Amino acid sequence: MEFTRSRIRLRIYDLLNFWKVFRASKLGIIGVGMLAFFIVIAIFCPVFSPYDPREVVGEVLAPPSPAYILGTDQIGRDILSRVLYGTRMSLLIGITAAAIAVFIGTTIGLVAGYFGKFHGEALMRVTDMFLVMPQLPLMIVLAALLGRSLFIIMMVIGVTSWPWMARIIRSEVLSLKKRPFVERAICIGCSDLYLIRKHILPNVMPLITANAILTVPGAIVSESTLSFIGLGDPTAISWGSILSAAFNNNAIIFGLWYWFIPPGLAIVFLSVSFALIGHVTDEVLNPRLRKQRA
Amino acid sequence: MSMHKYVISRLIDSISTLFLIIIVNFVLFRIMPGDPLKFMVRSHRLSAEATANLEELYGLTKPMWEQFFIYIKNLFIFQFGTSFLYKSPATPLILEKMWNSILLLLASTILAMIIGTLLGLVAGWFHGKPVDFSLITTSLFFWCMPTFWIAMVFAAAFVTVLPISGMHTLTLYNASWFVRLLDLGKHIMLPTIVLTLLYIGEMLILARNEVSNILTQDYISTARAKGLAPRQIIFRHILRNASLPLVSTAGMSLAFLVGGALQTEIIFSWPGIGRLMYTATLARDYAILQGSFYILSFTVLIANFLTDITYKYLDPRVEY
Repeated sequence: MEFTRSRIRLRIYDLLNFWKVFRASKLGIIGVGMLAFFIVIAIFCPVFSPYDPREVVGEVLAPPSPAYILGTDQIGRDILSRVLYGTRMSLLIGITAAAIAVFIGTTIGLVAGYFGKFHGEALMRVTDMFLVMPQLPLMIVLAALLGRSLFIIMMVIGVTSWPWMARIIRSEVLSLKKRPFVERAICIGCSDLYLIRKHILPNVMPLITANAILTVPGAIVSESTLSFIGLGDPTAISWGSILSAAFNNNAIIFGLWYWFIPPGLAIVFLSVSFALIGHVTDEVLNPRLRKQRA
Repeated sequence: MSMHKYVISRLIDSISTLFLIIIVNFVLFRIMPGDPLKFMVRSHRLSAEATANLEELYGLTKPMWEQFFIYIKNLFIFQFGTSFLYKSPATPLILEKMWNSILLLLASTILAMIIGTLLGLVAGWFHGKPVDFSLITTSLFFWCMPTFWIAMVFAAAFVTVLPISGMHTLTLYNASWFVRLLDLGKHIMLPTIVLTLLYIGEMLILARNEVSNILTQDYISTARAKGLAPRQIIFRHILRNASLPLVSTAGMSLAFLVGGALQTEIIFSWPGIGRLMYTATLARDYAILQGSFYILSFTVLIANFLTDITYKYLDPRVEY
């Protein structure tokens, strides 16, 4: 009991320490600020949005006006409300899909790196296959065959985004396995599971954390791309589907910038916030990089 | 490892990867969607007799393993069935469109490599300076932009100046070859710019890291000490050494670029394989989807194989 409590205290201490170093980076703070902004919008979008995003509230294709700040779309729904509600979808799918990818990538990377030649080689062949098959066409094929729903979109993005993660984790595990403390643990006769849990995993954890955050921007962009192509959940409001509606209703030719610029900028800034946090986390957690900077 | 052995080991790797791709294709298109006949025929009024005949014709009554071997044979001779959207065999359709995509990809890859390397050189040379910082931040933003959105913004910005749809102006069909070439140039401009922008960021960061690494090497200090002009250091020592890793990424990035080309083709109605896949997706034309997906994977696999061999030839130290 006492042991657990002191371990928890240690964790909190670690976190505070991490935050102290993280805070020193301007880019990191900008990233956290941007992300906080989007999270507030996602939680409180019913309060912020002037209209119900699913209701027809005005004329068709109305230009921006005080009543409709970003105008209305092809069936008369308020674009601003739709953009605000789209935040939820992007955050939800981006984070969940990235979590799936991180889980698969970490597992495969750990197993391939830890369990010797044959298993490792076989798993790396599978990873190579996923690297060779172009991701977007693969996602399109999977989504087209499996159908359009929230769950399927998350799975499709997760299942196609893990190979890089697996590669990174594998090479780290390979180098860890040659370190003296791991060799010693093998010599005393520690079981594989124990070794992975107590020695390998804690040491690759920083790498996993940073790369997990860096997987999110790709997942957010993938979600918007699939929705744009028309493979997203048809009932969901997402930035990609707003852009799709804009494109299919000739917003480009008529120059209806208020229809396609805001959702696009939202995608970019949300992704950038995760990318910034990921890069700074990597710098803080990766001792080699920190030494280089100092 | 000798060159000979290296080529053979890479060949074995590539073939085993190809085999895995074929299995995935089989699972995706023959087992997963349930009844393949329903996808081909798309009619609910098919009589039981006609269904049985068709099943016999397509070999669906045979055991699964035999179907798998027939499937492999068909993939090897690039036989993907008939597109119901275009009412003709899928393969010639795909190959015809593929040339347009290759033209687009080649133009933007070359441009991105040249501009990206030069910008990366600048960023690496001024490592940690404001120039470096702003270049890195800009490429981060481009990395986070959905390609189709960049394409939309460019199309909207240049809609009055340049054509934003298709490959040719239809009214110029009988014009001289020079006029038509000029027309093609105008049409290819925007898609190429968009694809180049997409790719530049990656090249820039790679070249920058490579250059700033090389700058810490001893032979650069030597070159400086013996009084070489910066221009000589850059061209003789840095660019030559930094270009090697760029070669290997050019092949690796093809899989990534294909996704970007697909989106660019959709926005600019460029008649390439990406646009073909898009229309096939909307109509659920599985013959075309399956064919383009397989041909794309196959092409990337071959490109990767060739890059690896070229790389080994350029830098014999490489061990796989």
